[in-house]
Amino acid sequence: MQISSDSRMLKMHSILFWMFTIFLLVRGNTQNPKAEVTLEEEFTEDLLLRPLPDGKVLSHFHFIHKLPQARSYGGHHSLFPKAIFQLVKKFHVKEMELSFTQGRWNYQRWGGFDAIAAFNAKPVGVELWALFDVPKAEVDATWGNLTHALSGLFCASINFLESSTSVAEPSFSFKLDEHWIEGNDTCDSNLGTEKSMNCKQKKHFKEWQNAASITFTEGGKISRGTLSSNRQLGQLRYGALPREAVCTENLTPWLKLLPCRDKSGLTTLLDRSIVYNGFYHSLRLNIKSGQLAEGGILLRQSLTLVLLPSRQERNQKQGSSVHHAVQPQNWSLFSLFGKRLASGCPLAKSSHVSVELVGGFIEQLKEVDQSTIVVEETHLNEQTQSLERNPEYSVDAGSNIGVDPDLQTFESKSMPEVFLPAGEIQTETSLIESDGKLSLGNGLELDLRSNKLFSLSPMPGRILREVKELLPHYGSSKKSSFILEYELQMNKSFPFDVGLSWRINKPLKWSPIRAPFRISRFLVGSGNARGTITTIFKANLAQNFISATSIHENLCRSLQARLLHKKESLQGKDVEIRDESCSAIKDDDAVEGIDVIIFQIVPWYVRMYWHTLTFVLDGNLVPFWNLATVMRLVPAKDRQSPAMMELGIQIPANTVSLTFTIEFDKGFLHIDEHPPDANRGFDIPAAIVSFPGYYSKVQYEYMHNTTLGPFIPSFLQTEKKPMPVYTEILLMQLATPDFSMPYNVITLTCTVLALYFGSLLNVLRRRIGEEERRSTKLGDSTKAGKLKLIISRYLGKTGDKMYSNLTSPKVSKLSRIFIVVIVAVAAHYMLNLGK
Amino acid sequence: MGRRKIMLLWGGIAVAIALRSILMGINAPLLLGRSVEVATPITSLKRLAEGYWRKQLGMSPYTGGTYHGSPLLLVCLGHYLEKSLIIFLIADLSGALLLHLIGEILVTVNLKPSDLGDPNKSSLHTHDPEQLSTGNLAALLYLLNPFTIVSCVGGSTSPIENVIILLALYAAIAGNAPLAAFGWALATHLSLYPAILFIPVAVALVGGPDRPSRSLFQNLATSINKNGKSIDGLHGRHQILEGLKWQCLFDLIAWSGIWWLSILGFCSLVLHKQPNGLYEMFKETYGFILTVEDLTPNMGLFWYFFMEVFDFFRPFFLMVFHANILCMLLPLTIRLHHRPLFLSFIFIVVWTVLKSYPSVGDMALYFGLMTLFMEELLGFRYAFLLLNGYICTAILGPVMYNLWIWRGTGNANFYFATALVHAFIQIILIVEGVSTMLKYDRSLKKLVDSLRDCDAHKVPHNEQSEPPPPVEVLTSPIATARA
Repeated sequence: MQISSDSRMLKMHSILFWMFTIFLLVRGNTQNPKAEVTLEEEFTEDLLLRPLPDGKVLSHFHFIHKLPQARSYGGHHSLFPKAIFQLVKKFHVKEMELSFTQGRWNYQRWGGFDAIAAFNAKPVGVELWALFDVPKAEVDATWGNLTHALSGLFCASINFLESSTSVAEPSFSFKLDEHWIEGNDTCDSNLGTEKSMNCKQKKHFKEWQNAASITFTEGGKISRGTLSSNRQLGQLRYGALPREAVCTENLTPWLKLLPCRDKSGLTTLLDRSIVYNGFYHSLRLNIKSGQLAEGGILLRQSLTLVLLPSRQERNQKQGSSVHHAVQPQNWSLFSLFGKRLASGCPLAKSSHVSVELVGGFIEQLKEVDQSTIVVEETHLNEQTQSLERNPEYSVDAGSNIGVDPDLQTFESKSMPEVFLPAGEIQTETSLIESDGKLSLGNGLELDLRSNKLFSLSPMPGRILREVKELLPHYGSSKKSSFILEYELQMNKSFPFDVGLSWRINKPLKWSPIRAPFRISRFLVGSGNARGTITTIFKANLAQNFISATSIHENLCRSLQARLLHKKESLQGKDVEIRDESCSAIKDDDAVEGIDVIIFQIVPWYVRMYWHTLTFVLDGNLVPFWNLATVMRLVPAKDRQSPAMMELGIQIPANTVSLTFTIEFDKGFLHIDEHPPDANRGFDIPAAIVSFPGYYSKVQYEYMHNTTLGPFIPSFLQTEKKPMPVYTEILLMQLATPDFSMPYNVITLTCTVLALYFGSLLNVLRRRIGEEERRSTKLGDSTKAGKLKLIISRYLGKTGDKMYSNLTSPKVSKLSRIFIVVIVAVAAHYMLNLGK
Repeated sequence: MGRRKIMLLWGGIAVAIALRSILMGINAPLLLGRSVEVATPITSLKRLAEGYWRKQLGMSPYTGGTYHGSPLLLVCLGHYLEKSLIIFLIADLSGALLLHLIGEILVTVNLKPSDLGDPNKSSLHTHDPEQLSTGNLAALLYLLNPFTIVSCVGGSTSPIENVIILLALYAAIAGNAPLAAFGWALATHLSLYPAILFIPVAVALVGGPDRPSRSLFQNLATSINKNGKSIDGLHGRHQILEGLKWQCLFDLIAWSGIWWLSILGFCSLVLHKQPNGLYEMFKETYGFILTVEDLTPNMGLFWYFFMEVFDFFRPFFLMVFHANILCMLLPLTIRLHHRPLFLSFIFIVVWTVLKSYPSVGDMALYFGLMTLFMEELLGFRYAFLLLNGYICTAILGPVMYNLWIWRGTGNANFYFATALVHAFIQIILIVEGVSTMLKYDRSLKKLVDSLRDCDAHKVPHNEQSEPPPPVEVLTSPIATARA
């Protein structure tokens, strides 16, 4: 590129301006609720397909119901499911999310730091949280009712979450809105106790301080924050059932909430056997009330599947290749689901199918075959460029992908067979409105229509490109992702199929966007007496680790450039302020480490010794309070509530590994508290590790002007949320008693006690040597007193000659029966009196 | 005092200290500290550390159901957890010292057959300067007892509880009501069960330390008065026959009240940050002991029973089990009122059997007290069986626990069977101990009777002569006082 610097600058500015306006437009669309105000009920369906680095394909079905509050037809709606409406109204649900998951999301292979993973990577089993709009005293009761309603609605044992033994009240770690992230600007804190804290730290955790009781440290000194009020504290409940088996009986009621059920539309693809043979599937139901204008209800339903394309098509070109693991996989809707789309849901406002090509993938395409990429001078993204020029942002794409042994064996069995001729699909290209070119940055462009790498059919209607976030999107690839979008129109595009088949036979190595750390949690120790819960954070260094400072520098640089441009064009007022904030970031060097919040629920029978919390940072033992910045601990109550830990730590930059351990003793349970298969063990819910500095809002812009009008894929219409990463579920074995022994134990123990009582009393009662004397002595009985005589009389003792004459055995027998009857009647009366 | 005796005494103490130091050196606390026989949920040091940590963070130490001990222990031990072993060593040594002092008092007060000039029964060690006195022997055996050693180095707070109980007993025997009240109140505060020691402590303060029953002395005194002849062993023991010191009982009650109030005051001071500190303390200490919420295995009977028993029977059996301790208090007191120290020994064994969370610390305590009654318990039957039983359960218990919990090859029944045998052995100890002591008293009485008869009728050693009216022997202290 031999362009003079002046003209280049000019060009850049014009591009920036153009981009910025579009950016504002798109942003305005997503954030301004007015734009979404509708008085009609609305239903949209979306399907996102994303090829994953290990050859599988992520399919994400996303359905949105919008119910405006404006008019009420006596609780009747045309599209919105009545069950959900009633649920929200009855239990005053402000926000709720329920997920049913089977399989474990592979954060390393499938990515853990993009919007899809942030919302749809869920722990195994059922997870439910809800935010209520009721007084705090009623929250527990409402929660209990809600769990029962949901368990009826979804045929699951969610009602087990009613008992408080598995429910926690997270305060700051679980549900975070952007409010507290953005509250970082000021440094003045009225909390006097942390005078020793420097401004930087304070700034970071200002909102946390407001959220919970906190322990801060500076230089080994322990000081305490105060407990102040928080909006959500007490109204949020979180519970997880890791053991819940998820199957079709959960999917069917979930589908029933959709207006078209699975009769038409995207859901027709969901063949049960395919869905439940997948590697991962997660049903999600998210309800927000009061979100739309006039307090309507927004219901999102999503189903995330990770499937392997059926073998025939997948391997049509790779019959005898040696490197199986990273061979590009061919896929199409048909190979994934076994059928093509016959129709869209006629009741839906819009039906879309999108294909996402993530940044790493695009980048790898470029590296694989430079010749296929056409050089193009336009569309230079300043930010991307600056990031790219940063020497620290070194690229070692895909080196983290290990070769999966399972995958290898899987591939080697494959048989080459041509199943779906590419030409057949390419006939349906009526949707194309874009020019079919992907700008790859740096002046490179990839033509979707004709390249030597792959063929995509049909051509997308629109192409969207990711706009890099202003806040550090930590660990993201330097390339933007693209979304190729197909709109399904009635009577036009059916039967619809979309697929990607490869023309090259080279191994393709790329990696998804990963979290800064790879997090795994496991149990250490053998035996059923005690153990240690260990959580390991391993930095995802090799591929995309950038020291956080450099991100900020880059962001600041790009921001300044933009602002400069804006200043010239708009002369806006807020320019200076923005500028300051940027310099503040620089001066403060705010990111000396990565903030991490660990949220963990542990059942009461795991007795945690919280004082044994230790951190091992790169092999060195670090005092707990050096890393911990904030902690909220709700200890367990036996048989009542689980222990909950919310721990904020700041991991220093350039950390390779951090190990975090807590010791515990295993409790012993009553036989009734053991589940029927006691020796399987007890599941401990997954811990949630979230990165409050990085959150999941992604911006997209249109690649080209379209006539189809503004469109944001529904799965991108999400709120900002700190990136959560779920750790593994722990399976803990507890010592079991002998379940068949109750009677034996009761009888044996009581025998021993009877032995104690009887023999001791016998010893105490006996008078050695005196009894014989007394019994031989005459006139002894006169000494014994009247009471003894009466008793002996009633007991019919014949030893006493004086009285045996007076009382006949018959009378004594009768009187004995009489006494027994009186006692029985009295006892009966007393017992009834108690009732 | 002979040289050999001194060497024996100090050598024993040195060995005891050395043993503990070695065990501490090889990190035995880590190995033993969390074994269920040594550290119970109430006495475990690890739980104490957790409670202390929570307290330092401004939380209630009792949250989370981990810590169930006294807040005072948190303050005393929390800071010195690393050095706590030295504290326990000091506690053991002072426990031994108290046992020694108790022994000294018993020797001066007690009446033995040899004192009455019984030629058949010569005293073991009374007049032999080369032999250890009862107190010294008890102290040495207490220090060298493996159970004491294990509970000292095993990371449990029972050495401190033991020394406080011993303090209460010593003060009661020595007639020091305020100190006895202090020991009793503190021991009761630390673990609920010493509450029943109020009876022996009160009896000891009112009626004096262990000795044969008062009627026997009266008989003896009358015979002496009749003949104007004195018996060697009775020199200097006439103070025994002084009246009952009821004033001491009132002192004890008053001082107990004062000490209790001050203990509660200290506790509320420690827990001042918590709104319902004291209520929570009682709930988590006494309530925890009484309701047996933690079913962690131990040497007792409660854990498996309440793990297995049906839920609707639980309150009933809790009541029955606890009532078993209380039921026996009165009969035992009536029969053994003249021997308050022995009575307290029996009480301690009883509560060890029927405690919700027993540990070797309790065994260490009652073995320490038992050595004080060596002479009286000479006629003990089944001693061999008991010795072997203790050894067997001490070995089999940990083995069975290991098989069940660690290796997974055994199951809970094996361990519980050991616990049952252990309880059985301790019950034999109680029953045989009481019966032996009663027999011993009987033999003393016979001896005195024979002495009197011999003096009165000049018929030496005639067992079949007319026996004395046996009324006073079994009456309560009140009756004897009236007499």
